[in-house]
Amino acid sequence: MISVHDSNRLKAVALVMRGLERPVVREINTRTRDELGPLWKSLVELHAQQHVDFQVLAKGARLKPGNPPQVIAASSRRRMAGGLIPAEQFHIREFGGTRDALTTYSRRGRRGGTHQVTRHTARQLPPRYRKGRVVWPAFAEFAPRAVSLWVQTVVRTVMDAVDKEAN
Amino acid sequence: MATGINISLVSDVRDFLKGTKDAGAALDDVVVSLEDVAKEGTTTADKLGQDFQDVRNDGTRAAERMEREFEDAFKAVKRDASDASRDVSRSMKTAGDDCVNVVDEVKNEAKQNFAEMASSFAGDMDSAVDLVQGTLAGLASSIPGIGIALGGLGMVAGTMYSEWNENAAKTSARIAQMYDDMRESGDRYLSGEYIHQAISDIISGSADAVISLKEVQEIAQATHLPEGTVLAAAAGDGESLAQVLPRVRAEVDRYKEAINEAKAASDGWADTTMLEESMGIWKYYVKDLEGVTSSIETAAGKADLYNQAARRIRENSPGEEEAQRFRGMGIAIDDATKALNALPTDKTITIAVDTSGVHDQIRRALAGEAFTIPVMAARTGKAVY
Repeated sequence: MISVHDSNRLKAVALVMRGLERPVVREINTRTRDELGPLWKSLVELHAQQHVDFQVLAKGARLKPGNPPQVIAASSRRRMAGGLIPAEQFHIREFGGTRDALTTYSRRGRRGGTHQVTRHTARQLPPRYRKGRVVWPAFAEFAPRAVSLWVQTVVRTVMDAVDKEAN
Repeated sequence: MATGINISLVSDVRDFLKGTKDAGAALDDVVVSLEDVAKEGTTTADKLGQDFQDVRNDGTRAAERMEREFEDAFKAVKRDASDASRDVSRSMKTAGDDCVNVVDEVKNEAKQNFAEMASSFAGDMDSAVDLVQGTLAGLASSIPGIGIALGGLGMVAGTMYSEWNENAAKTSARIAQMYDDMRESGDRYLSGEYIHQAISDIISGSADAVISLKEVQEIAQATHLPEGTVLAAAAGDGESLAQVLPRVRAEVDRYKEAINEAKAASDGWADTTMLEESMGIWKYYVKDLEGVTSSIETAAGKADLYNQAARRIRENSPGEEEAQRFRGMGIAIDDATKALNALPTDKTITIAVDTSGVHDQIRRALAGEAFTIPVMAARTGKAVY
């Protein structure tokens, strides 16, 4: 993630955004959302490799305009068939899990009674990805373009406001 | 509650803004960094008649350069996480100090440029006589080819910043006016005269107005209240405020409910940003009107203090009749003092008193001799014999 301290442009835009009048900010937010929202959504979907990635990570991918804008993904709080809640457990799909994990649990035998078995219970998970599989790579691709476009949007909208005021 | 993945495009913005005390000066420093964006955005769009979308797709040099710049910045963060994090976690004090030094330099330069700019662009800048505007515009004019484009950006942002910075001063001035009004009337509420003036300010779009007429109309329309009531509330009429403020707060609650409903219906992934933005606007309205209420309360508190002090003074002072008597006594004492001061140091005074009884006794004792009293050092406060 880029810090505001790394660029004078970002400092300028952050300061301008803070001082602008509400209608201008509203216009900037609308433009930012309209331009960047679909781009973000499509990038996350592009990086989603499996159907379950769509279900867990890409669902609800959107851009929240503001100062600064934020990207949102994996925001669904509906419990999935297996019990996973995307908003709370997205990291399993995004960063993978320990596929070798063994779990010992009790089960009922065919001839009655219960006994304990030890099984691999995380084989369905993707392997570990330290830098993320879907959302993080999408963000790495999206962020420079998005920040650049946000700066342009702010400048352009302010210029339009100047023109409007002048006319 | 977990909210899924939520990443800011740019980090540390909140801390940066919080740590920037003089936003106008800080903007002076960095607005020049947008010169290429402002220039290319304007020239491309103006020359080719392109709209915003086209400008984006056109991939102007500034945009490409900027994208590369941000890519490099992102890569730098990746390459050396420790350095980057050190930069990110720089103390706000250091950042602030750097800013102040640079700002001073830029300011001096900009002031010089302003003079040059004023001579060249006087005709175009009639409305931009404010120093803040002029300074920013001057800075822009010193960059070949940018001129008015960046000046415009600076002016708008600068002007808005001035307004933003003046808000606190305006509130203080408003409280002072309200206090004067209450002190004169002796009431804890604003006089009709004050409220009429405030209403006129709103209608005429005066800089002193708490809220714009357009906002009044928006509030009236959404809350189904008469515009006059909303106007009076914004002007400081207590009864109207009591009617309007709950309705405006209710609007905020209505948006909150709508957002929650939308999220619940979609299990949290619904795009509610439009609703959130609208709610934000209504929150501003609540803040504006609460600002009026709190100003009135502050002014009333001050007026109370004044009245208490005035009452105390009255209670401790003598009544008018008594004061008159004291004043009369004072004058008499002054006259007597003057008369005594006019006397020579040695004087024989014959006191005309009814001394017949004494005389009889004296006459009997002394056989009718004269009786004299010598006066020595006849001055106030000294013995008179």
